[in-house]
Amino acid sequence: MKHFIGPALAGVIAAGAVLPVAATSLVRMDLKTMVDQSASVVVGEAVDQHSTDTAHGLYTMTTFAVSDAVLGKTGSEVMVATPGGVRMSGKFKIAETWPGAPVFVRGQEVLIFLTDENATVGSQIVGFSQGAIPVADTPQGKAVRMPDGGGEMVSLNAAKERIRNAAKSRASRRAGDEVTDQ
Amino acid sequence: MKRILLCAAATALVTEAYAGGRLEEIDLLPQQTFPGLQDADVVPIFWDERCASVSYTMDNTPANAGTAQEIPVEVLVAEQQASFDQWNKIRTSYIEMNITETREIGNGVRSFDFINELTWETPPGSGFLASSPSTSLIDEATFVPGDDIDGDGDSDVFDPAVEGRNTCFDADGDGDIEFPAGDYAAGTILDNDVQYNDGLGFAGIIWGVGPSDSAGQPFRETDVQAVAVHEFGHSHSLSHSMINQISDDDGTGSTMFPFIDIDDAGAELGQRDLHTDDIAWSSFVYPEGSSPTGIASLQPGDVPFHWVYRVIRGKVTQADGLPVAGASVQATGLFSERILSEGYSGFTRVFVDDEGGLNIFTPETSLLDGEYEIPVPRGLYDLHIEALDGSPAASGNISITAQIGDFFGQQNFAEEFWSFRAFEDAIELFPGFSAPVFAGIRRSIDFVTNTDVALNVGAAPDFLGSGFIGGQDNVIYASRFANEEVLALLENGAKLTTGLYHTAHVDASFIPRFKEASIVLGSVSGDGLTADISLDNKFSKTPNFVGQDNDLTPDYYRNPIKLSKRLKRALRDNPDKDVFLVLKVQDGLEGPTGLDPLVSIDDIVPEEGEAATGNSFLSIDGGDFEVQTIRDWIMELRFTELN
Repeated sequence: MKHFIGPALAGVIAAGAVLPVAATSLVRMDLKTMVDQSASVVVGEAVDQHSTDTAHGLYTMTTFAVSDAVLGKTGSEVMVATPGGVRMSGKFKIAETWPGAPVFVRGQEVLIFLTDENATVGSQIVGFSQGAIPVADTPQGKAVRMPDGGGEMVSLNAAKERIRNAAKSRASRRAGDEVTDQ
Repeated sequence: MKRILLCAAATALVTEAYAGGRLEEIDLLPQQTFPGLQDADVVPIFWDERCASVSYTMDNTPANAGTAQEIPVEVLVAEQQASFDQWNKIRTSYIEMNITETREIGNGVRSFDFINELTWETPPGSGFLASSPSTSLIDEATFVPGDDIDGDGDSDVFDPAVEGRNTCFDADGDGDIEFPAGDYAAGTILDNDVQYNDGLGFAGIIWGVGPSDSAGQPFRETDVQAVAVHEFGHSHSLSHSMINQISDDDGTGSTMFPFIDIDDAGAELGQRDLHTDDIAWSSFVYPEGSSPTGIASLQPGDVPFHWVYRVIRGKVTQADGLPVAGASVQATGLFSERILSEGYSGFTRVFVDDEGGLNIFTPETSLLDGEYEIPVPRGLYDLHIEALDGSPAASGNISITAQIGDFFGQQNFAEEFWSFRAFEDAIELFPGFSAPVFAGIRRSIDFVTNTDVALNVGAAPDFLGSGFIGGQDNVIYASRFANEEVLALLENGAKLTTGLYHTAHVDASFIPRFKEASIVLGSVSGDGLTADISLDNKFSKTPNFVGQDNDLTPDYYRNPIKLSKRLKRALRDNPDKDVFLVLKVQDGLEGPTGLDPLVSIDDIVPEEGEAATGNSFLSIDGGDFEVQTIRDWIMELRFTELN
């Protein structure tokens, strides 16, 4: 007898491979996990950047002009905090380097999975560097490599559709959880 | 035991140009190519030889604080010192790191304060398991006694003539480290802290002592030592490695591979033990015997770097001659068949404004060259290149240089081996053919990335899976490539060189081994629900096919010309038949999770309007194939570029 699994069980199998936290000792995240942990997902272009001292060291604050709010509510701009940065002032110019932290440059277009803003630094990237996906201009149009995507480029539009679908699955799962809890 | 002498490298101002497996920062240059922006080269960071005996202070906070699983500070100290010792015992590397003190340091949250801190406290909301940030110089500097570098009102520099030594230590006895006065290069590390996240209990993750399988357990214990050995590699200034499967028989990876499987005891155990790649890079950056005096001079028990290692050098360029930034170049021992070391290509430049904002503009101004270097034990090697395309790791996991290459769309080439110089070109019939390289003899091993044409089934994986409930034997995955698409390419002169299968094993220390990979013909039923695949008539087959973990695994065809000719004729003669890539699962290779080797799945959600390609088929009885309506396997055919 053949037993074909539905998405729910497939997810269970997947959970063994793709785990819900990230670090510079990284635990790999898949798209569903990243969507689960995201307050918002946007496509944006880095338009401004500066380093700032915080109670927890240097952070780089990059402002993205949002071209598409894929998930969640965002304004026309979002400021994203990434650990590490450079201090150009003073007698000694220094930098803080966080292994595996994403680095943005002005003009770069990125698909970004964002956490809620927190009091420490602001919105951060889900999964450390995993939630910052560069958008590439290809002969076929804009494309990205999705999390756990096997290195394959998919069109940006297809990627956005996948994210929205994953969010709908999340909403369905959460609705199911609530029923179960009752 | 390493003695530290007074006259150690007082004016060392040498930086390595190529980052390789090293963490990077910028080096500010005096010129401005663009108005208002200072040019800055991307360079590796490192500990100055005068400060390469690094003292760490442990904050007195336990792990799993306040829980039944609390780990006392003294146990954490022992586990971490054991982790440092994994690195300290490298006989060809002179750097050493030790925990010299345990005390409360502020609130336990790290900062740039010239105290190299180990702490189980992290900023609120930290999403990471552990991290190892370093503070370094981004411009060459001359330290003079009295300089307050971290701005705490206390001098961070002492006079070597007064103290009678020229090495870093707590000169004023106030609990932080002072540097000896002198010149320091851009990239010099001033402070390193390692912080472990103790706030992941919500995800069921706790710290533990010793490797453990977590499948089915109430908590997912993360081995302190496995994580610490990795983080201390960063403390050395090493970056991440792409090596996640050392050989066809060893599924563990380099300690510096960026992902850890905390549910697989074998993977944690593998990460505790340094791989050849980790050892080679530490030795390359801190070569024993490289100075006549001081910590880098030979002491009893030390082995000179050059006795053991050679450095393979070369460059990676695109077909148009543009240097490639961030190609992973991996060296596999010809006889051991183990991947022994890896480096990354490229030397890059960015442009920095007064607030620290980074800019890059054109490939010509930022991609300075595509050179690489790989330290390897003496011997013969096969070399291959791989893109940092997310499988198994992305440019963002590796380095600034790799991310710059990615910005310019460079992490998009096919994996290939180095063949003879005359054959190394953008169009290669035999991308899997390797000409052995004798380390230290050949002057430059240069790659040209290939320009291929690919046909895909499945767009991009959503997760690993099988498409069936576990416990099945005789599982076969198959992907269909339409007759007309393949035939069109072949009739236009393209040659089929490679079949690719995206493979993985859920348990990181296990190898995704398959019974066979093959290319055959078959036909799909009129309703599209089943496929009749000719498993007995293979155009090419590779028995005992060893997959790469979480990566596209190439099956290089031995004779692409002959294969393409045969295939073209068969497709012409059988217009009702299509090409199938077939992957048979090897039964009985389950890891802790009890799952067989898997393929990656492009998940289809029909209720959201998605439709499967109808090109992915599954058999769980050894021969009857049924179409997959909610998933596609990730498989691919690659052809040489059309003439």
